[in-house]
Amino acid sequence: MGGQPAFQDGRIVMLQGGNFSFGMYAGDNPPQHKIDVARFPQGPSSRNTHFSTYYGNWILIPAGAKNVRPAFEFIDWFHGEGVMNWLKNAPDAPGSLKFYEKHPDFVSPLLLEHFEESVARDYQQFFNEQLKVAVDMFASPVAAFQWDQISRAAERVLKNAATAPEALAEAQRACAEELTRALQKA
Amino acid sequence: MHISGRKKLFRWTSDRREAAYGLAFILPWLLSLVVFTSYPVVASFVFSFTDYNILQPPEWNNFQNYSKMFLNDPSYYIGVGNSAYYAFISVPVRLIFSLVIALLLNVEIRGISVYRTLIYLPSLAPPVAGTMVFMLLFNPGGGIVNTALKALGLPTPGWFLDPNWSKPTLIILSLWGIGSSAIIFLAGLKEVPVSLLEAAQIDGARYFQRLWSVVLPLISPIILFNLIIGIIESFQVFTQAFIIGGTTGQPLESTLFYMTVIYRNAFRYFAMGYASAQGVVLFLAILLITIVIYVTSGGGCSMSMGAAQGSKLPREGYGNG
Repeated sequence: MGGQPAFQDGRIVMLQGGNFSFGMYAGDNPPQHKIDVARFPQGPSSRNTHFSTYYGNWILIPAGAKNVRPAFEFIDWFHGEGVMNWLKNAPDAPGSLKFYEKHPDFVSPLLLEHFEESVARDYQQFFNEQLKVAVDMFASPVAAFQWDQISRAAERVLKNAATAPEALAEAQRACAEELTRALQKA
Repeated sequence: MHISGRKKLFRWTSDRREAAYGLAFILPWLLSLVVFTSYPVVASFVFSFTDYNILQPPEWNNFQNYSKMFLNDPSYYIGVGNSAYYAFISVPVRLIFSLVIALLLNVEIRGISVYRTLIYLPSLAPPVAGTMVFMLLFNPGGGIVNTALKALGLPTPGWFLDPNWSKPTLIILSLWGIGSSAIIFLAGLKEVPVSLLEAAQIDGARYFQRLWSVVLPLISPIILFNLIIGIIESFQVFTQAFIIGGTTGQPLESTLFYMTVIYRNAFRYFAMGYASAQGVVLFLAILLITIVIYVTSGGGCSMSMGAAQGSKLPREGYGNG
């Protein structure tokens, strides 16, 4: 996300992001140029399945807590209806599908501030769709290894040390082997 | 003859008291040695035979870490290759540079203590700060080095951004801290008896003949010491490589050193057992190299400097022959 200031200034044309990128509109220097959002392109071996990822922002109920049920109900409320209070202050998007079931037409107030309603609605719809195919980022026991392999593959392509299919295949093979090893231990 | 009824088992003599005081004074250091050095060394060896991710208790896995290291981990050999390249070039280069600097600092001229201080100062700078400064100096775009090379009409390498130049640049960076080894060489040079140099000069030996035949043999224990320390340090280079190349050894894994591989296995992939095994292998490799160098150099001592008594008269270099 180090490229966000450059993107906001219009010095780079693309930025990897997510619904957390709404934050760039909450600061003093929101982008003045037209933007759009799109999914990552799929590779030649793709099975035509898109997915997105999310980091779990965990709220824990301590072991031995006296009021477990109310605590759980608060968390459930907070991630559903209560998120409206959160969104009044935070540049974010709801992270629960349950919320969209109740509020299918919800659009982030921050997006409405900066875009025409139809455009803001398009963006919000995009992230809502992504939520339906989201997987937990921390689900992989070899996440850091995977990130290093992806960085390595990207660098090899950028420096013409390998073609994209070669570099990605190599990364995929290494990740699969590491994941297999990790799962065998589990 | 007086025979006491009960013999006193322990008596505080002045020597024993002095020894007890000494022990008490070094006790904090001894404790830290045991807790922070000895225990981790032994623990690393034990963990190297386990699967250990910090969060769960270690599980014994026999030699799996070692077999993975040698048979199933290409990045391990990249780390070994990069570290070996760095060691084989940086160690002799550092030795030669620090010896030459020590020879220059051994002349008695006005303000020599200021020069000695200036040469030593960079080795006091934190490695992170030194590396950041070098990254600015060797910035391919607007760094002072390439600006100067361009002004002279010379080619401007990509330095840290070019996989062919990143390791040579790190070797240049390693010269930043040669002040400490230069000072050790200087201490050795100060112990060379002047009488031997004068005798050689009277016999007609020129500067380089005196240097080659008198000085270098006499300081050979110092050379051996700096060589061994240099090899150990070069295999343990981490900070500079990590700042420049991160955990993937950019560019193109050319700065993925052995210590970076250990670090990322331990603190990024949380494979503590595997990282411990790599640490054990590094320890054994350095130990083996040290023994080989020590044995093949005949113990490193071709002549005892204490054997020759010489006057400590001030001198200017090794005469002007």
